Amino acid sequence: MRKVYIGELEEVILLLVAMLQEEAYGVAITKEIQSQLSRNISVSAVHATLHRLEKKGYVESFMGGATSERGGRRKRFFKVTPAGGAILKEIQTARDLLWSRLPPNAWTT
Amino acid sequence: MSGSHQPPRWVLGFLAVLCRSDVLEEIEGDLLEFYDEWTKDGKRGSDLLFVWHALKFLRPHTLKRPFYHSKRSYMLRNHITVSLRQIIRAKGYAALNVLSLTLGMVAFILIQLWVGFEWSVDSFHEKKSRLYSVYYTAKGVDAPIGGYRIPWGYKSPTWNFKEDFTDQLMASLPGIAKATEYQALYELPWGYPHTFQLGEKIHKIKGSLVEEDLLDMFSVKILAGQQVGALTKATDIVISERMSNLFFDSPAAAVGKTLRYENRKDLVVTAVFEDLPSNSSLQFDYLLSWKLLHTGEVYNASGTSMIFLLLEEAASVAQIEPLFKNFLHERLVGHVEEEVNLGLIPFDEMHLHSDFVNGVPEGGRVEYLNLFTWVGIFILALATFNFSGLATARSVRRSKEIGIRKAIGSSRSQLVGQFLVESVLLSLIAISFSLVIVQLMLPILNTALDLKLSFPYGETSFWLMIAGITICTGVLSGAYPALYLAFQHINKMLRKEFKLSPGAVRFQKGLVLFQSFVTTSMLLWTIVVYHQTQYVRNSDLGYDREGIIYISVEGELTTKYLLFKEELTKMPGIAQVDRSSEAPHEMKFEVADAINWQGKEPGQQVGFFPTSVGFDYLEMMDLQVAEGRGFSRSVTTDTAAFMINKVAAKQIGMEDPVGKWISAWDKRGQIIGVLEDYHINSLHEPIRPLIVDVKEDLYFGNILIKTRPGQMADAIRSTELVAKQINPNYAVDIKFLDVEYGKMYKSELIASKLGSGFTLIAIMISCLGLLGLAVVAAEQRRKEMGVRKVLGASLVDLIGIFTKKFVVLVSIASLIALPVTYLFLRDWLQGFAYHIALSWLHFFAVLFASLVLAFLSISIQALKTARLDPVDTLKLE
Repeated sequence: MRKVYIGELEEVILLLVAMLQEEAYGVAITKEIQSQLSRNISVSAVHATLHRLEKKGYVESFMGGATSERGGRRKRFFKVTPAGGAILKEIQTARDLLWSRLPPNAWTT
Repeated sequence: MSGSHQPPRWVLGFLAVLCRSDVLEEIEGDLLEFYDEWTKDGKRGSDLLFVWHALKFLRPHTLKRPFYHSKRSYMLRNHITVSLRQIIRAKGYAALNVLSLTLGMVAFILIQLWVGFEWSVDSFHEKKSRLYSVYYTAKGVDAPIGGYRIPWGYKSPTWNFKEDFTDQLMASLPGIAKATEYQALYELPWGYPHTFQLGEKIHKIKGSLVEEDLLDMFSVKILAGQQVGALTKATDIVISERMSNLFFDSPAAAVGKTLRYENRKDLVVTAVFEDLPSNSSLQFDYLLSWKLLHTGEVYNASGTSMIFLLLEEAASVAQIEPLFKNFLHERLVGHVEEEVNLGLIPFDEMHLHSDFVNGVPEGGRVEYLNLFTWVGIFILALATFNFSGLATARSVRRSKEIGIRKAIGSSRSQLVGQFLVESVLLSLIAISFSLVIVQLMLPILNTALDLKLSFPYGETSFWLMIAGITICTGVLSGAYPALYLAFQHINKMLRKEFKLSPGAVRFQKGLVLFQSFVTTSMLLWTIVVYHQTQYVRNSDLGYDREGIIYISVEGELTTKYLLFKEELTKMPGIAQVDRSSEAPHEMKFEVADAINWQGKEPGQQVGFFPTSVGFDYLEMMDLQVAEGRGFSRSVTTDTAAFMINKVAAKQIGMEDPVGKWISAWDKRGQIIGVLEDYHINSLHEPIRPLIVDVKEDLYFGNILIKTRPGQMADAIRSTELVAKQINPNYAVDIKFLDVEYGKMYKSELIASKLGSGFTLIAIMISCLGLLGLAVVAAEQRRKEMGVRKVLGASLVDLIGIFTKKFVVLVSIASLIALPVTYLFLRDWLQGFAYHIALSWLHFFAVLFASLVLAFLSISIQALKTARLDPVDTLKLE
């Protein structure tokens, strides 16, 4: 029984949080999506998704140290929790399973 | 942070109020980080992006509790849901309201954009609080006259162009930090765009003659070249970016280069300035040094110049103004009349106060602005009242709903809230439509009215205004029905038949009265203004302006005019060629002391408008000779002869002028004929004394060309060809006399076109309102009509009963509106020396039109109701 499903955007952002390690915060994630995936997304949408992921327990967050950048505002950094890691793996396994069962000519190109 | 750009601070404040404190910091930080990146491509758009993204952050999880998870917030969302259902349920009613609100808002926003633009003219100069324009006051025929263009005679009684007036002004009067004379070289009577040449490139460009202080006084931004002292030498020229791009690759490349001016002198580009914004009243693409006038290398374009002063910080107008009179009269002993004086007006007000009353700036454009501001407010009020009236009428239908809401415990404030949310929602829908429409209409408006308005995306004040309109119209239009229904007694509401109280009926009648009042006034105003504009444009001026084109006398044409005339006359499309030192439609040059005549009494002064023409001028322009004869080549003494017009003969008090002598400056000769009066200026001004002589060798003026009917294209080709041959170093700039004549009425034309557009909108809104009221009334009176029909009333009777109330109201409103508007229009027409007479026909036409429109809007519904079968309408019982 799967407890909680996550959406496609949530999955992407969860992966990016994992990928970015120490640098995972709103702006960095938004830019990654924009540059890596060529997908136009606004920073507020990223925040909302992160908030959802946090509520579901897949990421946890903490405030960074004060700097002189960004008008003196601190950043909120995110980290993938063990539950977040588990669900990423689960999705990966499920996908791999499905891919492996694809016949060679599944669709015509 | 780059530090150079700051996002709009109110956005951050806004977020701080709405957002939870635990997420506020990261939101602000992320937004600021993005903002830094956006500002790399300029500030304008990034501010807008900042606002947009900040708004997108307002989501449930970021908002403070009271804004999302509170009773009030749930209530609000419920109100919105219910309102949307109401709108969907009564689609026609909502559409009617949105349509009329949209029309009203479009009119209001467009007017505000235009008015705002006009107010912003000249406001961009940093030192505007200390910048002043000088105006003069002089003796007029009845009352003192005045103007911004100071006649040369006031500056130097001997017309010595080398005297530096501003230097003397600064030396004699305290408190003036800087001063400059200003003359637009393209302005009438003798100005035209001057010619510049660089190799093969020849262009005619409009520019001005100024003193070097001008660049320090006004905010003219230097892009390349000398920041200071760019106009110290007579050979210096400062050009605009636009002009530098015509001749050179870039502004920087222009600096230090030489341009050939009027094929006469080489000028060195010392600086390039940023193109002037369209809201600058002074327009020029280059500035020449005033010293050129001293050396005689540039001709005086108008015999007048404007004078601008920059006062010292501590100086005040009250301290300087009283000293002007003494200063002038000391210098010009015996040359000026007692009334002559100078005055100051803040520079940024000069554009709006273009008219002079008793020699002092008063009114002008600003009157139109005020008028249209009111028109905008009234139109919006019409739409708002429509809504109120309709909502009140419809409340009958919703009485059950409200009654039940009350019965199950809804408070008054919640009911009021429900109605207000509904009206604000409709107003929001309307404003979104109007913003789209305004955007689509702006380019059309700009072309039709020759304006340069743009949609102010980045301006906070504009969006605040939009928010203001939305909320005000929403709340105001919903207020009466909301309060009315919320305070009705529950028993009344749940009764079978809910009837409007007498108060509500009076309110409705008041609205209809007000609407008809506004539309009738606007209709009358528009018809009269349109009529007058047509009159001005089509009236017989006493000369023929159709099919006449003209070019300036310049370059080789100053000496080869006769050759040009001979060559051009042979060409296809050309009927006749002649010349005049003044533009025939707008003779700006007036002189009094240089004109003398037989029997002139000592001290008698009459202002004359002099012009020098060729021998064929009278025939070509179709001017009528009243007495004596016109100029003739065969009479050798005619080069020394004069003609005057009838007004001149009357004003100098000369009977039988033919044969008597008259003189202009040092030329003296016989009056050989008297011309019938013809208009030498716009119809705003009465016909003034005219003195004409023949001079075919003047170095300035215009060559007028009469084209053959229907061969304008040939004529233009011929003129260009011959001008290029004889005058190769100059670009040909052909003007059309009728077009130039029309330009003198630009503000009237704008008023007329805008006026008719907005009147149309007002009428549409009112008709929609009446239509809506009729729909509701028809619904309520179905049974009554049914009963009447059963008892034998005819269709005509029924329609009569139905429309009577409205028609009476509209008639009363019109009868009040017409006289009020009449008084207003009388003043407006007084601004023209020649104007149409207001006749009863105007009033009857308007009254008739109002009644017909009202009748039509109502009777369609009336007819529908009257034709219903009584069997259907009465069976419900």
